[in-house]
Amino acid sequence: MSASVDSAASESSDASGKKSSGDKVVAMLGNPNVGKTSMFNRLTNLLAKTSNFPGTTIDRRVGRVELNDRQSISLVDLPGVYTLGASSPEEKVARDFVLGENEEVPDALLVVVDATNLQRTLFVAREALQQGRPTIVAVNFIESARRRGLEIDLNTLGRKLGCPVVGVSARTGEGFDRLKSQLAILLAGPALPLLISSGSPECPPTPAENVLTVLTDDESCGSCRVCPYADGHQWASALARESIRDGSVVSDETADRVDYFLTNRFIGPVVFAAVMVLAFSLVFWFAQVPMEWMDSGFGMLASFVSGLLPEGDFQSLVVDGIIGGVGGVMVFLPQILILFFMLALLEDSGYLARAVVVVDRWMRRVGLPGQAFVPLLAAHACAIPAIMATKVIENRRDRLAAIMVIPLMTCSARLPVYAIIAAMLFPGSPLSAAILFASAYLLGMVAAFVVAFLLKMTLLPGEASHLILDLPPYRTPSLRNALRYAYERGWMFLRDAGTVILMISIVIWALSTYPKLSDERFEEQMASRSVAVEQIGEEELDGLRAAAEQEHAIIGRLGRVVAPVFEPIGFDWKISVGVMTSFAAREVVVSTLSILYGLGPEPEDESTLKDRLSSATYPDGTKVFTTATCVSLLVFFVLAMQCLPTQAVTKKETGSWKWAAFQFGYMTLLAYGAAFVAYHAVSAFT
Amino acid sequence: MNSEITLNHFIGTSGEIARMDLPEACAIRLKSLGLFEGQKVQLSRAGNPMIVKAAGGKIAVAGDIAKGIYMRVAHS
Repeated sequence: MSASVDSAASESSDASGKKSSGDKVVAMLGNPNVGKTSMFNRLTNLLAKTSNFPGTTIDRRVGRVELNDRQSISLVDLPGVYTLGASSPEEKVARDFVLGENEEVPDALLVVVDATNLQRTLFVAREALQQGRPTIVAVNFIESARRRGLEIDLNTLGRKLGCPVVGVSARTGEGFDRLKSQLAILLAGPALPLLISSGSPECPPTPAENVLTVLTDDESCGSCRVCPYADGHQWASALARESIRDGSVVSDETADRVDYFLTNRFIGPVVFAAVMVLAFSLVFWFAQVPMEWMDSGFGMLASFVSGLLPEGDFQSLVVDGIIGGVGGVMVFLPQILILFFMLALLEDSGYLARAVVVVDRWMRRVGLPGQAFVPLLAAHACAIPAIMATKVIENRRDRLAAIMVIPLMTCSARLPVYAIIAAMLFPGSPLSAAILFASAYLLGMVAAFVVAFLLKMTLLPGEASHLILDLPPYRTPSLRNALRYAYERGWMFLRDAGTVILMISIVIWALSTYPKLSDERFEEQMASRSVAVEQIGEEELDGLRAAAEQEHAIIGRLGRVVAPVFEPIGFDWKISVGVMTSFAAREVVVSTLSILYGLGPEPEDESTLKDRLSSATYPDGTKVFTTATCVSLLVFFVLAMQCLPTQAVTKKETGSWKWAAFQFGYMTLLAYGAAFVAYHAVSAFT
Repeated sequence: MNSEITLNHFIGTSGEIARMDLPEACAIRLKSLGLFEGQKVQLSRAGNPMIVKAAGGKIAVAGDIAKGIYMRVAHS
C-alpha cells in the first residue's frame, strides 16, 4: 500500500476532483462511528488532502490508494450519515456526491458497516446499493466481533446484498489486501448485476440475489408498508440475523451500566465537570513547554534574521511585522493541537455523545441545542474551527444562535492578554492569577448563555430543536485517528496564520511605521517634554524613540482620534491604539502595548512588559494601569470580537455579512458596556 | 383492545411504537435512526432526555420529542 499526498492534492485541485490523473474515484460511505476514518487513514497511509465540499465547510478528504502495481484510485471520504434521504448538510453532501450532482458520479462506492452492529449499519448499505453504482461492502471491526463471539457469514451477506463483501479490521489491517483486490476487480468488471466470488476455488461465483427484494408479509410493519425507512431497517435487521453464523447476542449490559452513570441526573454532571477540568488542565499543562520553545524559537529567528539583513525598513518589516506578527499567533499551535487531539479521543471513545445528553437540558433553556456543546467546547481553542463545527446542528435558528455566541468563549488568542493583566494585578500570586483566568473563562461562558437567551427572546425566537442523538458504542479511541485529526486542524490554523494574519501583520507594521519621524522632530519632542536626552541610557532612549515614532505614525494619530471613545472605560490613547490594532486579531494588543510603552518591538519576556506597563503614568503622574483599568481591559478583551478571520468564517457559514456585522456590533457594545461597568465599579472600591 | 401512551409517560422496559405525531423533519430523523411505527423499542433511561434502544442502536430523545411518540399498550 502506498499513497501520495501530492498526487492526491493535484487530483483534488482539479475542479471535478477526478479525472486529471486518470484514477477512478471511489466514494466511502457509512454511518458515523463505523471506523470509516480509520479505514480511510489506513488505505491512504495517513496521507490525504483535506479541503471542503463545494459551497460548504464540510471536510472533504481525498487520498490516493494503490490497489495493485497497475491501478490506483482516488478515495473520497464522505461524511458519516445514517441515511442519504434526510436533509442535514452532511447527508446532502453525501447524497449529492453519490448521485454526481455537483461533480462526476463516482466510479464505485465503498460502504463501511460495523461487524458488531450489522443491523444498525446495513441500512445505509441498502440505500447505497439502490443507487445502482458498483458497490463493495467492507465489514469493519471484524476482529472485535470475533472476540465477542460473533461470526459473520460474509458469503451469505454478499449473496444477499448482491455485491462483494470483505471483512476487515482497520485497527489490525486484517482484510485490507483482499479489500483492495476486490475493489480492483469491481472497477475492472462489468456493470451490475454482479457475480459474487465465493473466495474459494471449489465454489463457482454465484449470481447475486436481489438485494432490494420487498419484505415478506410477516416481516413488514403494517402501517409503514410504503415507508422506505421501516422497510430498510426491517430488511437490515433480517439480513443481520441471517448473516450472523453464531447467533449469540452480544451483551451490552456493561455499556448500559456505564450509560446509567454518565447520563445520570446527579452523577452525570459531576463526571462531566471532572472530564472537562481534566481535559483542559492537560491541554494547558502539555502545551506550556512547547509554547515556550516556540516563543524562544521565534525570538532566536528574529535575532538571526536581524543579523542577516541590513538595518532599515525591510529588516523591520521582516522581523517586527512578519516574524513578530505571525510568530505571536503561531505560538498557540501546541494548545490547538492538544485540544483537538483530546476532543478526538473523547469523541472516539463515545463519551462526547453522553456529555451532550447531560448538557442538553441546561443549554436548551437558553435556546441552544445540545449539539452546540461540542462547538462551544472547541471554541476554547479557536472560534474558527468551532463555527465550522456547528454544521452538526441541522436547524438554522439553532445554528445561528450557536455561531453568534461562539466567539464569546475564551480562545487561545486571549490568553496572552489575560496573562499580562494577571501579572500586573497579582504579581507573585499564582493562585490569584489562576482565579483571574478562571473568572475570565466563566465570564465568557456566562455571557454566551445570556446572549443566547436574549437572542431567543428577540432576533431568533423559538425553541432550540429537540435532541435526537445516536449514542455510539463505547470504544477504545484510536491514537492514530486523533493524531491525524489534530494535525489537520493544526494545519488549517497554520494556513490562516500564513495568509490572513500575515497580511494583517504587514498592514499594522506599515501603519505603525509610516510616516517616519525625523531626528529633528524627535529632538524637538524630547525638548518640549524636558527630557535630557544626553542623561538617559541608550536602551531607554531607544524606547522613547519607538514611542515617539508610534505617536507620529498613522496608528498613533488614529489612536489620538479614538482615545476619547475609550476614555470612559479607563483606557489611555495607547491602549486605545492597542484596541484598534487588535481589531483584526486580539493577541496583537500585547505586541502593540509593548511597542507603545517604549519597549522593543517584541516583548522578550512578559514580566519586562509588565513592569513597564505597571509603572506607566499619565503626564500628571497618575498610574495608567490602575486596578480598575486592568479589570476593564480584561473584561473588554473577554467580550470583544477582535478577530477578523472569525468574522470571515461567520459570513461564510451564515451566508451573509449581516450576521457577521451583527456579531461584531453586539460583541463590541457588550464589551464596551461591561468594561464601563467594571471600570466604574472597581474604581468606586479602590 | 389496544390503547396508546406517549413515550415520555411510558413505563416498562420495552414496547412498540404505535404512531408518531411530530414535524416531518423530526419524524424522518427518528426513522433514519430506526424509530418508526411498528418498531419495537427498549427503554434504557427514563427522564429528559430519555434513551431508547432500537434497530441495534441507542438513541437519546428529548422529552418534547417523546411526547410525540405514541406507544402501543396491550391490555391483558
